[in-house]
Amino acid sequence: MQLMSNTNEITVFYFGSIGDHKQSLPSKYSFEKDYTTGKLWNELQSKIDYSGEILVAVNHTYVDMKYVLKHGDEVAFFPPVTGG
Amino acid sequence: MKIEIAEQQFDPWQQVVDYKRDKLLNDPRIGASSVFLGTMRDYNEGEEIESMFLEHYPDMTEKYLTEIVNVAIKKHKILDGLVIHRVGEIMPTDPIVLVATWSEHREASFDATREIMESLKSEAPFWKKETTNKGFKWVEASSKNTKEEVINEV
Repeated sequence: MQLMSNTNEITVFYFGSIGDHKQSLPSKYSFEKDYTTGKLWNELQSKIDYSGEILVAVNHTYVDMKYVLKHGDEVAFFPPVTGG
Repeated sequence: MKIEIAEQQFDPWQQVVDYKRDKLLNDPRIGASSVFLGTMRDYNEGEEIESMFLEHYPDMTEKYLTEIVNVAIKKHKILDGLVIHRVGEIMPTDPIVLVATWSEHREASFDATREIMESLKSEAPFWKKETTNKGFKWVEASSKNTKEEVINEV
């Protein structure tokens, strides 16, 4: 009998000054369940020297840090935008 | 509507003329054309800037710019809107962003152009990295352009 896997995998992108740290950050991330963008950012932030403001998008839409991640999500972390 | 992320320098005035002639077919309902052009300065916060790199988040940028212009079309009942934004390496005096709108009367295009630009500044995922004689520096968002949903606490 094949065991069902509870592991979910997401893709993570980093932009702006956070992108400067992407060598130290994962581009894929696995978790079991009830994992939020906030929990993920806490874990990622502990790997890098960044304490500024942060925005997060999932599947190209802004979300907050309480968003519950789903398998296949594309997550992006970046500082406040500076276009124009 | 046209949204374009431009990797090469563009002529904003020619773009406005071409769009109105070729896409709007010089629509005779147009009574007002409003244009905002942002260009690169050679200084920022007292420092001389040699060049700038503009990064963006592909797909999300186009998605938000499209939404921003759609909101302006509905809210102000403008006839159409055009946004072109540079990415990549940019030099002083180069155009960075062009916003143009067309409407029957001036209030609508004035207001729509300004609102598109203000929303772009706070929502569209672009980031500027400046080169000075001391090295590279990411530009920080001014508080008035910071998206309200910025959340540090978890």
